[in-house]
Amino acid sequence: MTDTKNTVVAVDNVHKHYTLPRETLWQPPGKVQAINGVSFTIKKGRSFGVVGESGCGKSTLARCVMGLESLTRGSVSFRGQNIHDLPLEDLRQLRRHFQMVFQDPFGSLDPRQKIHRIVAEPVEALESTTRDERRARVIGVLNAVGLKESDTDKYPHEFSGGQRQRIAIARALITRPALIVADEPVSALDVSVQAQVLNLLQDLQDEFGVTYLLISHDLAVVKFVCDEVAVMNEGVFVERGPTEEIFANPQHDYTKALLSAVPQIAG
Amino acid sequence: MTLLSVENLSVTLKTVRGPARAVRNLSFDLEKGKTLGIVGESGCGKSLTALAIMGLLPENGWADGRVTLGGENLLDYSEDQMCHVRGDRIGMVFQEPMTSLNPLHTVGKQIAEAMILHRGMNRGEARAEVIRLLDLVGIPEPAKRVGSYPHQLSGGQRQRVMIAIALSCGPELLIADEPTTALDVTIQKQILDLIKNLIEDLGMAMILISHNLAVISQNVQDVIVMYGGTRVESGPTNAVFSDLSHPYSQGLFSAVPQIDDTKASRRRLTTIPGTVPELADLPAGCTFQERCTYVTDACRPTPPPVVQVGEGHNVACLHIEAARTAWGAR
Repeated sequence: MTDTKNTVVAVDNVHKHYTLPRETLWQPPGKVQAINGVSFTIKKGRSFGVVGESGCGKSTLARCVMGLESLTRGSVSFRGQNIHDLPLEDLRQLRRHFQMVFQDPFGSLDPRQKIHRIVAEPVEALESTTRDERRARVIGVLNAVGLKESDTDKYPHEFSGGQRQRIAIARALITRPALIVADEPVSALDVSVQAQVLNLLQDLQDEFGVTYLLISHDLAVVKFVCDEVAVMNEGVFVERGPTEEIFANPQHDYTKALLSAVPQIAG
Repeated sequence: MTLLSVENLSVTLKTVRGPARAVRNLSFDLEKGKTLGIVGESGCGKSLTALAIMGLLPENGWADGRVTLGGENLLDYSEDQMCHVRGDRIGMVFQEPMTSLNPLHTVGKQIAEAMILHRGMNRGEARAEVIRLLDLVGIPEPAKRVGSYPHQLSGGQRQRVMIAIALSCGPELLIADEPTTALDVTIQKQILDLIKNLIEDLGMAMILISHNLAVISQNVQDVIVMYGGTRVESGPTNAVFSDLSHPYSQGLFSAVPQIDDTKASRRRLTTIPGTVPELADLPAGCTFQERCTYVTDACRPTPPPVVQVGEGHNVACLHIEAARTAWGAR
């Protein structure tokens, strides 16, 4: 925490509890403690991975970091600014510096809009630009993710799953964000396409120095992309450290159980 | 003894872009009590193969060829006859246990259904058998769970219920189509171990379908790798995985990040360029030609010959030598 200048994101003791629907009139409604005190920081140009099984709170954590959920307790700072204290308009403006890629490339792109509009939307919402500028920037990011200029006038259904995920990444990149939060970015993809997208994430980091917060249930994917990893279970980090170390020498029983359950290719 | 014999199975789907030949000339035999894995990416035809065997193809699809179970061609069976095969002689487990169970009926009723239909049990007998099955698939307090609805169970438990339904009539063949894809890794391991133990104990044959090479490599005796509706490589699992010979199988293997790979961090993954071909518009010749690094003009006009490279290990490729040499030197 001493090196605050290079810290892109600082998450400090975040708690997120949800209130369940009331079941009877004579008892207080139940609560789900989705996140129970999670802290971490990510330095510029680094990748931080969160692994865990469904229901462990990893997606809620991503949404909290993006400021899409209010916190029960704790704080999330982006470049030293507490995003949950900002007025909505300021947060909106700040969002250009941190963008999100979602899991399902079929559900996250509006089927009635052309690729040009989908990718340009963050710029339209956040900056005053001319049509020509926007078009140039759309083509620029589409090239960066390996798509063609001719793709701008197509609709999402004309693309395969891997290409759609590239479009989602292009949309996240167009505001030139410092941080990309990716929630299961490859789990809906076939392995050969997954490899293309993972390589793309690496290349973009090398080229633009993007910082990643990667959420995944797939330990091998996290190992491939991330410098540092946290293993999450029941709303807390049970173990955290440099990726190689955690994978080579897991300390916590849950991490060990998770690692031993991953099937390996025999032969 | 051969239990299931698939000969020249082709599945064609009617689409707006014309007929899509989703499975082409697939043949394999499955012995009693043996296990076979089919692995490939989406659109390779692995699920349609399973659906064709079970007579559950969508309405716009039809199958040609022969699917022989115990000497009779299932493709000639009427829908009524197939209803007596499914659930009785062939048990099925599908990917998504939430959508394949009926949310409005108790799990007990759903497990009992096939036994009442096929075995002529009365409700009392069926209930006792349901409790035994729930216990067999490792659900705690089975007598209480009989009355549970699917939404009251976790994903892993729902898949255990699906397995109990599949096993209820003691089928000769279990077809499991991506049985663990929707589950967490720790649950996946439990379910795969359960399936493995049960088929050994009960002497069933199994066809396991998965996109996950690791799952296939650990759970079946024989494997078929499919691409674009055809078989590109097949053989005993150990032989195939220790000596991958088709460029597609090799590509698939290299594309998966490995957790035990010490150099994994910061290494680039090898990708297969391009995407899966459109089934309605397949190239003549080898289906993998558009994405293959070894492609030559000879690959384009006719499908490649099937070459035996080891005991029961067959590969459909013209450039096996080049591919094997490169793979060995990697």
